[in-house]
Amino acid sequence: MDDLDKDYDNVPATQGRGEQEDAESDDEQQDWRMLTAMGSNRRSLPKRGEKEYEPTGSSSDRNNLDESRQAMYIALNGERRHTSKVHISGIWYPHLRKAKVLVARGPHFKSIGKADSNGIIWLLPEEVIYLMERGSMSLYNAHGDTNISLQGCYAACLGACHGHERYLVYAHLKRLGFIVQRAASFDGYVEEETVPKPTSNQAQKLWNFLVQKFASFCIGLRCVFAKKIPSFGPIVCGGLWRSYDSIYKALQIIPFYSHRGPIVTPKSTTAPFRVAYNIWKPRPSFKKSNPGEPDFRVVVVNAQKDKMPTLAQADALFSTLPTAHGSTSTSQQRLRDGYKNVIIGVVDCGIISFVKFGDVSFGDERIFEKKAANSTTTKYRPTKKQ
Amino acid sequence: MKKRNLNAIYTNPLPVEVVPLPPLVPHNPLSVAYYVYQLVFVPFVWGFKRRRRFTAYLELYTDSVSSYVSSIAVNSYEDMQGLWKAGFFGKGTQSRSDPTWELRTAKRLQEASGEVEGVAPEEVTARRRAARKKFKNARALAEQGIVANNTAMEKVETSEESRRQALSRSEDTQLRDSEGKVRRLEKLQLTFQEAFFLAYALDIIDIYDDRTGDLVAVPYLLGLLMPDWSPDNSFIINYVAYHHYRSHGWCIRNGVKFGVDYLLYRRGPPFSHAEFGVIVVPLYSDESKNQLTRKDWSWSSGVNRVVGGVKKVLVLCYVEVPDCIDKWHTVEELLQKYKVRELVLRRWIPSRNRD
Repeated sequence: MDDLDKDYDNVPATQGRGEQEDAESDDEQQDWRMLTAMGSNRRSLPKRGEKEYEPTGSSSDRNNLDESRQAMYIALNGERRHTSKVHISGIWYPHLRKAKVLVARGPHFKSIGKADSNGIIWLLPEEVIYLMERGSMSLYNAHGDTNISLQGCYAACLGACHGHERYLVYAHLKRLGFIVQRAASFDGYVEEETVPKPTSNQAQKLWNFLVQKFASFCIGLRCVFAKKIPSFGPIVCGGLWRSYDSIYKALQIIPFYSHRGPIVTPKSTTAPFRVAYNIWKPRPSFKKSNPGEPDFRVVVVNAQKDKMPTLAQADALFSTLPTAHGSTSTSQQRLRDGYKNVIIGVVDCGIISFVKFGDVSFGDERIFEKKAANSTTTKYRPTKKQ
Repeated sequence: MKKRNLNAIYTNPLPVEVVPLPPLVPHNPLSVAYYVYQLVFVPFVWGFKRRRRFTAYLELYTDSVSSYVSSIAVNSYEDMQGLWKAGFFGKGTQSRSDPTWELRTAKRLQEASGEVEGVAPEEVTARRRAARKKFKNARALAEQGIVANNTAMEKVETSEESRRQALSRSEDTQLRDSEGKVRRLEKLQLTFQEAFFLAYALDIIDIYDDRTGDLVAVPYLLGLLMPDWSPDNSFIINYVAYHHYRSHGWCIRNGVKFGVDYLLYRRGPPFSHAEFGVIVVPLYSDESKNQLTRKDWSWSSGVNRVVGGVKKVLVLCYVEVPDCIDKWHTVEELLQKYKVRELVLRRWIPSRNRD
């Protein structure tokens, strides 16, 4: 798509760090021809193929399409199997809403399941359905005699997953390779343990108030000397201004929400805007006992039932989250990702799309302000933030 | 094509002159003297000097009920260039954004004896599109296995005369006035928020009524621009957002091209593409009203796709609307009844964020 805004010469597009949002990159189509090239006993998924941007109508295009289609049919025809060495079996207990694993084998248990004090691993319902769908698990009922079918597994476990949407998001992210665990607020709002009360520094507040009043008084004085009606008068009135910085400061009269205020106490969140899952990027060193800070937090909503959050709901959700970046973040990162952020997975009749909501404050960021060309002083540097 | 020195052309971020203080070298008496002179004497002299002012004309549309502002435009060529170059205000009515119609017409009519200075962005776009079309033709031919025959494909270089004839049009006679000079047909059209900002916040523009020629003072202008006095009327909440971003150093322009209200540029369109697309959303103190005015996820998805497709980040600018705006003494007091908060939305693609 031709960028309609591109009408200046040699303009570099300012991009975020390595995140190009291609409009066509949504469906990750594999290049099926690579499958046949590698043979049937492949170990890893083939990489994404190149996507053509416009059809040229040539015969080479048609050949490519035919080859790809053929390769896809061959790949789908293959038989999927796994060895008995990695087969898991478990028993589902409806009153506990968990499954006990009888035989725990395979690589899944690095990120799935929780061991109790006796060393027996228990699986959560979404984990059970996920493993059953993969075919890695056999599930038995509470007496241990009958095999539960996949349909039966869904019927038994889906209710305990808090909705089909949550399971869909769980399975989607698991299949992509992320490590997904339930968040503390999966079942409802959780009162945070002793959050340090914000100590309102009275002296600091008073000083800020006085400085602000003095500044507006000075500007008012200038305007009086410049003979203007104060009620409809200009903010940047006549007279000599020394820098654009001072002009911008004088113009900043509109109150805005700032992150530099006191620490926010967590507010109670409303359903469905609570964090459902914590997810980590795939890494071999992941430990269930000590996972560390999650890379992302995911909220799951149903597009048919819920609309976008109101600011109050979003604010409550953000108040329960830690800050995203440390003190070493750049202004660009803070504005694009947000001081705090959360991912909302929107499930619309089975189609999932993710939106990242970030809490930003443009008023906190000072962007580069160039002084007049005839200045001989050095370039203006934004003040350091805490 | 010479690369323009953008910093030299677009020096000031706002159309207000500043005179910075010189550097002070304490042990150098000359420097101290010059510094004191600049600090004390120059403002005194400056006080007598009138700030450069721009002129705009306001067209009113009157129906049986009341008058509405139809457009606010700057006619003078120097004022147009001045307002565009310092802060990128307005849009040229005959150009894409930068008022370059006069420059392009002069080039087309070969007015100047020599090379006309400056390159208009429209020319850059036309050049780029021609190059892309040529590339596509060559690629299509190459794919079909035909060797491109350059001499056959390209036209024979036309003579200077025939090329000039191709560029001139029959309507060109109407372009010239009685003295044979090219008429200035282009105006710089200002959005209502820009006009109010220049008139109220910076006070560098005089707006005259188009028909009567009277000066439209700021109180009257505000009354004309506000459609009614409801606290969430479209002018005031858009103006609050506009003023907020301008006061923090951003260059803010209209964003209708991408389905948003405003686009934010760090320095301006010639320097880089806009980074953010802002949509202004009113936020009421009554939470039930906020619940009612929530948007669907399909709306968010649509806007996100459009804005993300042009590599911008969507910003939802929530403007907290007061319950009533009847009691205020100064415009500043009125504006301070509002409060701004922002959220950014971006499409998150799991497979791209996995490593």
